[in-house]
Amino acid sequence: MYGPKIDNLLGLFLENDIKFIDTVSLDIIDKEFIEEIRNLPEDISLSFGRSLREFKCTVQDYESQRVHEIFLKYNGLHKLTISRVNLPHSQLQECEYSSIEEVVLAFRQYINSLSLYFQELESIDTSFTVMEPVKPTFKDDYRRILLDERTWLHVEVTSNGSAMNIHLVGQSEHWHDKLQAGLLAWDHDKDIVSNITDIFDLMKSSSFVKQLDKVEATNDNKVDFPSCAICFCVELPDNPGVPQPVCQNPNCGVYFHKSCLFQWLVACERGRLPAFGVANGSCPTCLQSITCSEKDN
Amino acid sequence: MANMRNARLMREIKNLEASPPWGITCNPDKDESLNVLHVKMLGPRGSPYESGLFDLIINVPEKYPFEPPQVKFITPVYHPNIDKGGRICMNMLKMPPKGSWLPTITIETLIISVQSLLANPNPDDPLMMDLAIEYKHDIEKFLDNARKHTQKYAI
Repeated sequence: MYGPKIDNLLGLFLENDIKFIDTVSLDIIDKEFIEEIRNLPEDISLSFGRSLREFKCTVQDYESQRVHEIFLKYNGLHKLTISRVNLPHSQLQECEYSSIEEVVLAFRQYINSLSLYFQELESIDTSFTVMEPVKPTFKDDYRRILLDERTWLHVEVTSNGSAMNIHLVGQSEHWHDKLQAGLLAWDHDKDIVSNITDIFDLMKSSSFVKQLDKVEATNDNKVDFPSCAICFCVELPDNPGVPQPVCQNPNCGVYFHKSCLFQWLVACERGRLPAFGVANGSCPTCLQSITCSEKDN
Repeated sequence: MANMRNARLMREIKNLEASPPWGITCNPDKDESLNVLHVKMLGPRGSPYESGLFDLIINVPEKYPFEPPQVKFITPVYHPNIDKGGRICMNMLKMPPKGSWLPTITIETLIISVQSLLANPNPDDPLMMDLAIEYKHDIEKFLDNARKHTQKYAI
């Protein structure tokens, strides 16, 4: 999508058709801006999107090889806004900028302040099987890690690289005590991955080793997702989450989208919404009692 | 919501086409809304409905699978749980708490259940009182009547 590099493109315009660039510059892009693009420092690279008003700017970490992409929109002379960025949400995204260099300066500072955040997330993504987000990026500040087939661990990472809001998703009974004890003994001098590994004895536990085999077998960092027992799909266009092992019955291994299960439990109550957003009822597969919140977490 | 309903239905219909259960075909109506399915069903072997071919129509509600589909016989059936209008009395076709519909039940499961209801009437929860009494007290006469009825309407 982001095809020709700016240099080639501008070169084409400038050399081949001066008239064209004149009209274009009035209509789409002003001359000052073109000058600015031509004089950008070498460490900033730029490519265009579908139109000359949308472009992508890539910035590299100073300390490592990570490349961060900032998607910009040109709204007129000295008016640049951020349309998308693969970083956790910040105030910087809401501002208007007068030049590309100003954008890069602001974001470079922000990116440098996030170095621990990047490190922790990278380490989680390479050490564990991440179930959610489906395609983890630095934009998502949380990870759901596979503990066993029916339990995931939810971890959020703060901008300074510490773990937050750690809890279990799915059938938690088996892991609950370990997590409670582990949270009290959390070692802040170690990184998140070593803490989690220590809490759950992950390296020793056979189930985890098995999962690792599975991951290697599929050849990328993804296990095949079980589909939702209600809609029979894994991903839905209007449904952000993936199916989860919601039922607490250890003999029931069924996965549901929280939104699908919630809709069913509400339908059983003739459409009456539950108090506090938590619906009760019975599991549509094993008929044991089940609770489900509308929203995730 | 409508998206997920149709996605699920498409998947179900594809599966039914790929591996149809014994004696069952299921085709969607020509329009693309997937609201109406046409089913052709063979009577179960060993039952008085054997060798009969029965037409059914399934109306899939907008809220499917959070509401059960409505299933109706078009072909007349002589059965304690099926009335003259083809309506079927079966728990699985009703919402809880009265009925036992679940969103994990598929159209396929539903049709197979209707087929097995033919072979195994439930005279304790009848729609046709007189047929239920006949079934309970004079099973030979019931079987004979059902056979004749099938001969007349379903072959």
